[in-house]
Amino acid sequence: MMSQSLSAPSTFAQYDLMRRKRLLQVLLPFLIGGSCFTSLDYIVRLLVSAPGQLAFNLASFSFVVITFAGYIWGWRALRRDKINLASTLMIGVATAGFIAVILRRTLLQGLDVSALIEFLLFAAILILISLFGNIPLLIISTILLNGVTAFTILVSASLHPETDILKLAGASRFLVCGLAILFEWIITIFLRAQHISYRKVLHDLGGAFEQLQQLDELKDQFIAHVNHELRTPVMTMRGSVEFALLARDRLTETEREDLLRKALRVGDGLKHLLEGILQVRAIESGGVFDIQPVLVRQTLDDALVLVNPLDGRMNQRDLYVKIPDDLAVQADPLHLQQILANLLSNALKYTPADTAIEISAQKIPAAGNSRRRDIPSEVVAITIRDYGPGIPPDQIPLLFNRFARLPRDLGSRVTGSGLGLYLCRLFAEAMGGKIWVESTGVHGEGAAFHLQLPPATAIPVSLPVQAPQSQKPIQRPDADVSAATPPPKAMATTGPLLVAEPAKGNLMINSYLIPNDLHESQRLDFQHFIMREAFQGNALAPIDHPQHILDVATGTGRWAIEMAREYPDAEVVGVDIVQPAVAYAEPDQPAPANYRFQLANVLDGLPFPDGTFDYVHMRFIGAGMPVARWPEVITDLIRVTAPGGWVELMEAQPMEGGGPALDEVLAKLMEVSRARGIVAVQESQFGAWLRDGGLIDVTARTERLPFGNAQGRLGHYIALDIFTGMRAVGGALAKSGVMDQAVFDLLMRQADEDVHSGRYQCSLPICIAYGRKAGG
Amino acid sequence: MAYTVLLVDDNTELLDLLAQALEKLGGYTTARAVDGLAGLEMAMTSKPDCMVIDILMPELDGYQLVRTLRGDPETADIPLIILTALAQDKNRFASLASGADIYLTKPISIPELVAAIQQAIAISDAERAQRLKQLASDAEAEA
Repeated sequence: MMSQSLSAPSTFAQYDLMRRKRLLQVLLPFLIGGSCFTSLDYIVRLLVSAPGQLAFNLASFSFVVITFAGYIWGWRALRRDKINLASTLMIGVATAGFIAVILRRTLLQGLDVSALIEFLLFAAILILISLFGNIPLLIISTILLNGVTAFTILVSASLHPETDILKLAGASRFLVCGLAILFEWIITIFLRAQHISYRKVLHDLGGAFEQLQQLDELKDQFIAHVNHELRTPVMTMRGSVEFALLARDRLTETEREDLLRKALRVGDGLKHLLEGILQVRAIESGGVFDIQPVLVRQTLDDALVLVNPLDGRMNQRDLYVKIPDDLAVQADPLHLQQILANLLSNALKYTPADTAIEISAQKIPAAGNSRRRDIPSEVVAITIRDYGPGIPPDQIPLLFNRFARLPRDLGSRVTGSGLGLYLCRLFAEAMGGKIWVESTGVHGEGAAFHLQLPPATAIPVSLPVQAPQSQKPIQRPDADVSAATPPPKAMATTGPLLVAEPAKGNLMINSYLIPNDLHESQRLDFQHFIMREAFQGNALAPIDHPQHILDVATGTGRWAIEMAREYPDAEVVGVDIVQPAVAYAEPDQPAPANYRFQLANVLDGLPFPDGTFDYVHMRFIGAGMPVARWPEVITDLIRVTAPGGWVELMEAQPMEGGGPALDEVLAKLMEVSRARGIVAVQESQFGAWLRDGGLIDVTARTERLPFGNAQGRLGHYIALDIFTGMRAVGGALAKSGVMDQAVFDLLMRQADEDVHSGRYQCSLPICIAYGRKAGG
Repeated sequence: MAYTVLLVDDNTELLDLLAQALEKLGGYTTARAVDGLAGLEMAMTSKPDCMVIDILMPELDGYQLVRTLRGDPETADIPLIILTALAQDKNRFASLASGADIYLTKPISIPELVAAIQQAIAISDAERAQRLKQLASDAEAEA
């Protein structure tokens, strides 16, 4: 019992109790001493008392006995740690004793100078009471004192007028009585105020102390978790290197390299974990957020680049996006991007590979009191829905905590640091938003993660200056947008809507296919001119005055417009799933009247009747489209072609003969692409698909275009175009952990040197295929 | 004849590394299982000379696996080593109480693991008869 109470106090209440106990222990000898002194006086008076005063002195003496009984009882209570009882008893007894002394003295001797001193001493008792924080006792004592004061001043003086100082001083008895009572209350009120402020300080300190203790506990948990999370990867990393060293002679070159690669891979995972920990620390100690209007759709595209393509076999997944192009939120672009990447990565990791994932965003009325000025009446709700196993409702509250991993996942094969959703919550809250999840926990019904952020006034899509990319050189992952996955029927499309499969395969060569800003448009046009120069014309198939020309994935429409000029009698239609932001590359020259643009998605089926066109052209789309989708796309192209009409396709392949540095970068890019099902199309495939589609006179060939300054002007332009595109994806490769940025830069510099110096005869293979529909 | 070591761990990176290392450095034959249930099935069918078992695994965790193996006279004498990232005293206690011979925490060096396996197999050779006798008498007492 004692040892427990003497150990360090853990809460404010305990601390206060201990303080009072010590106070009692210190005061007790003085209280008892004072009482003993008074008792001695009583005993002496009892012994020498005149017969007339015997009864009075006996009564006084019995009071002494009661006082000591009170002290003994209080002492026992103190020994038993009943601090409240002990303090009340002792202070109460002391107060009562004091009052008795005053009464007795004034009754015996009247209001002389010593009685006045005793009155003043009584103030000390009040201070004592307030020290113990016993406010009821303080009030009672004050009222008792008032009574004693009034009694003494008004009554006792008449008993002993010869010693009465008031009479001697000639003061008004009632005035003095009133002043004395007022004085007593002023002391009491002052003590009470003092006590309140003292309690408050103690309470604040206690609160801070408790908070610190909780933090300390969290930190302990955190360290235990980190400790646990680190052990397996450290063992794998260490073991791989150790094994490579120990078994040096018994391992083949490849085996040794595999071991070192494994160590590197696991090390990267560790780095990722540490970065997460550091980020948590940074946010918890007040991170820096740069809140600005951010386009949701664009940020999502950036986020897709961050998602590891190997997570949840992304290439096999149907990703449905329903976000208006101009929907914008008030957020920090980088942190919003990270939230989205995290949620997407989770959706991919924790759900079966054959289930769909839907991402939608819209403005909704804000919940709660919308009349308040500081709360906007609308919010933007971003929802990422999956159809996986879901989350048991009882585990949902745990989900957004630090190192939270569901019991189900702890032993599962899915790895996670347990920091992702915690970071999402920290970010969302720091940006004035919130994040939560809805799930029934029923397998197949999945989970919906909702992120709510304050809306921003819309930003035009064509002003990339305000877009997040301007802050960070991350390549937009949008493939050639016509390589889009069709939306499920349930998701009706309204307004400007993009439904695009995020294809990192796009990184391969034609990295900038969406013409949604000036820079991109210029680059696309540049590419168009290169191709026209390389092939000495726009059409490769032997067409003969076509009347209806279709250009699929037309981009800026440059090719189609030139064809419209070349064949003024023909009607030329360009389709793409976004309206080109820069309508025509030559603004001073209006588009020809026989050209028109139409919004359409080739993967949804082209919106034209069978046999509409006699020349259908499509190029550079495969880098953004899984190879599996080619046959159906070609079938549709053939469908809209009239008998006798031509279908023409053109696709690029990775550069050849560019030296080891370029080969290594390309290998990495292809690895990333392959993970998404995107593989460069071969000429033999082209030919087979066209023939399978029923075309005749099929030609399929590969042209090798010059690449590099050493091969003339064309080589210079082609290398400039493609290297620019490749450089833009370096950051993305680094982000997805495939290749370090520094390594990438180094290899690109070497590749530049290799192809431009002419040390390596590099070439860019372009597969071309065209065929004619029978009949006509 | 080389001893066969059955490795049970859900981390395939580590599993592959340990298998390769034990074969090349320890001269053991290895088998692998990626969860507790698979480990149990393989232990029942192939009767390995030693098992190295993780604790946090899907299906059946390490403690359950060890208890199940010890409870079955067919597998009760297999030397069992727990190798885990759970490094608190209570984990150590629970591992040994479940019936593991040796409790090791990650990370551990490969030579240390080889030494532990040798030690576990040595314990077993000496105590196998004793343990079986104990089991038999327990079963008799129950009957």
